[in-house]
Amino acid sequence: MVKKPFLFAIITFVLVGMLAGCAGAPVGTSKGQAEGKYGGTFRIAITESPKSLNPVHANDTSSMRVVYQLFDTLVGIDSEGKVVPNLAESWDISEDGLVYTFKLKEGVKFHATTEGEVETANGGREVTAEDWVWTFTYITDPDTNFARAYFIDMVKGYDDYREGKADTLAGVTAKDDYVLQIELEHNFAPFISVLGYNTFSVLPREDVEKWGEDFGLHPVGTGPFKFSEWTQGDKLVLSRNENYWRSDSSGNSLPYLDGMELKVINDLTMQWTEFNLGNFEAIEVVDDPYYHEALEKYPDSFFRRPMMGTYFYGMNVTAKPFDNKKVRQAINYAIDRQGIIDLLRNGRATPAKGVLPPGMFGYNPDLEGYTYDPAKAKQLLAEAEYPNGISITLQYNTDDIHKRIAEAFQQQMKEAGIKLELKHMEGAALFEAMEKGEATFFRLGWVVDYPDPDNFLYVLLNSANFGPLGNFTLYRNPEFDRLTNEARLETDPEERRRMYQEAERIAVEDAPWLFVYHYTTEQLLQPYVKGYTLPSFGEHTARFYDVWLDK
Amino acid sequence: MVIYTIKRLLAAVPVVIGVIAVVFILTSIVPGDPARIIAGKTADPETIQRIREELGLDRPLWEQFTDFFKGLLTFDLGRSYRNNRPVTQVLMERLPLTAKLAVSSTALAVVAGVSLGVVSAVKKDFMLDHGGRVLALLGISAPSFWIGLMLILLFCVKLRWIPGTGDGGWMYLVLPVITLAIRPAAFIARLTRSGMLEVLGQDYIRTAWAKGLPGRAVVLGHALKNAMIPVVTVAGTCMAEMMGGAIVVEKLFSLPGIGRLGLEAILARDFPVIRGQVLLLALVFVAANLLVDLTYPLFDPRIKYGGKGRHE
Repeated sequence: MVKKPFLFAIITFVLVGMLAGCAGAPVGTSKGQAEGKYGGTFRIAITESPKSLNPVHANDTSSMRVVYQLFDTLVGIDSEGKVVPNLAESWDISEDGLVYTFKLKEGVKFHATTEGEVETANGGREVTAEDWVWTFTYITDPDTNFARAYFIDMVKGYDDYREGKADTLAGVTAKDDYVLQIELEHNFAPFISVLGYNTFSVLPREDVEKWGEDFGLHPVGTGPFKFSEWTQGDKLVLSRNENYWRSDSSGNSLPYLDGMELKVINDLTMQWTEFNLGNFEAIEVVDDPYYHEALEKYPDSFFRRPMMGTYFYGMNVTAKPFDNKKVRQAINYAIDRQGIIDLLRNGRATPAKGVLPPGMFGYNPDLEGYTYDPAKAKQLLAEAEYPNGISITLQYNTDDIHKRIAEAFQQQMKEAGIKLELKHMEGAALFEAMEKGEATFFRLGWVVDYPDPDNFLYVLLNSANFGPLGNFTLYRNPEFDRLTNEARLETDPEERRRMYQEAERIAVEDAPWLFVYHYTTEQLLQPYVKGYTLPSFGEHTARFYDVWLDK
Repeated sequence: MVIYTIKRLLAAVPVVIGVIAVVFILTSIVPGDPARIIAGKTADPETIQRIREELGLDRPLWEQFTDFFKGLLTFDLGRSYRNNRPVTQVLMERLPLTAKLAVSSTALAVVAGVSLGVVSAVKKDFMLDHGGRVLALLGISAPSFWIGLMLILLFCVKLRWIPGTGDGGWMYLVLPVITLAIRPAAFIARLTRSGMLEVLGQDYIRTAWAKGLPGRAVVLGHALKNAMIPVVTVAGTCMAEMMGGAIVVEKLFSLPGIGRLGLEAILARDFPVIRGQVLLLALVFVAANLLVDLTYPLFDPRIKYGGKGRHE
């Protein structure tokens, strides 16, 4: 999901903006050679305080970062974005793609204690298929408002249950203690990867019922770390789960760390300063002014790689002058992507030729995209009957990086006869303006929730998702809709790839976005941190179960 | 005095109601829907509507307004939209740190400011006075984030006397307190200096000197006491302001105080927390003004509240 918060972070959507990574040689892991050393606390400075530690509410990067340490999903997403076994050790998908049968790992236990030595309501019992049935029922419960429940609205019986016509979610059943079956109403190819999204983590019924609404303040899961204490707005402490189900390659129990400490430091200069004082093992963001210094000082422990996210400006295709395809294309020809990345982002991004970021299934390296060609932009504007150019207003959420980029575009666009006015507002206000149609040219960023092109092309550009569901541009192309609808049902990966590439080609041609860049993700660590792997989903999704400190 | 206090407190009631009414109106017209923020980057409109209903945002504003005051009678300020925690608890968690900062930095500002002001006044036009005035000018002009950063660079990074920022005990409060105190200290120094200069020229001071009183008694006992009234007023307002949270300093020093809470609440459109914080701030201002007024008689016996023989 999303990355760096614009100041306010709560709405992760736009967030991504600031973070970003770098483009240099991607480095991804600090794998220690041998087994790790036990002990030590991993201290990380984070920019925003988590919102809720209940996985069903955790849709901001700060909350997700913690949820990934406390809970487990059925399947995992590895650092390359591939679906891998997690609490399900294997699974079968029926030929028609409608029935998923999961073989669950035996001996996985919920946290027995929490918040020091307080016993949990579940008492540290084993996770069985019934727990999964209960969890899915809880997530989709019509009396709750879990914003991501609709991710699995294709599960059989979802509508009946949500509408109160049934008491349970019929499609999820326990065949025995270790076999879970999920039936779908219709085939949905990305389903397995959706299950890796943090909302779908197994929860202990007893503790959820004990805490009710406050479960997000007293989380209990199966992850490598247990919740210990939380000083709101300041510090969150996790401690080692001594009953964690994973062990290292030599059979030693994991995790190696005694615990983790996440401390809120809003100020990025202070994050950098404190890191250099040795007060943290990691910081969330290396701000642009310190980027080169960080590369020099920590050449082996400053990890960077492309991230599954895209920074773009959306155009409301029903509003003038964006209702004209040639105008949208002209805008795409009017900017120098690589130029601004080098100049303003220290090269910490990759120019976007289209929608899908590199590393994503379906990414098309041969996509042509738009080059920087002001003459062509001018010509297109003339063809679109704007021979004297156009005057448009960009609205972006208040943030230094967004501002600098927009100002650079303002200069570049002038040359193509586009007069760009800039208006910035706070994130929440921007969303409202977009949804009301008051903002017709707006900045957004998107980082995937699950590693499938569906989460980009269908969610953001299919006409079924107008407005808050993701398509703020109101873009509608019947052929694009058909391809992205059918690709959801297609089971043959090669055919899906072809469909998504064709759909993306159409979207690039229609240009409802000004494609800007793909994010990179980064993690700066102290040189003595070993075993860390930087995921292409963003550093906030990193797992710490096999991280250790060599000191 | 008691009657005066009670009267003042009663007079504060409409002020507080007015302030809360303004906050209600502002939060209702400010763009940005709390339900939308809770739902995250994408959500189906049905869920957003349901969240809105759950938060009571679909109800008329006046109803939300009267409910707020009903709750107030039982000290119930509602629950945070962000994490469903009671607002009173959220505020109480953040208050001690902010109170510590406000009280210590005000105390430091008064002690440093008054000392500097007195020295400047007594040594008028000597080196000490010039130096003091330059210091005061610098203190008033320098932005607090810059002062804070410089202090961190010097004491944390270069000298390593203080391990870092955050809320880790009194050691960690030294730099933020100094940062916060510098500006009011400079202001108080200027006020004290000009007040003292005025008083030192008065007849009764000449009388005091003529009586052969020692210098210290004249300056501190006679002159300073009379120059203190504007200082107390400034110190009171400054403390009330700091209780509202010193956002810049809290952010720079990573201190989870009331100021950062307010900022987070505004960005999350966490209306109950915003209202709670504004209410708290209104009460603090009322209390601080009252306290300031009540201390005036200590410095100027001509001022009396209530009772007989009131002179103005």
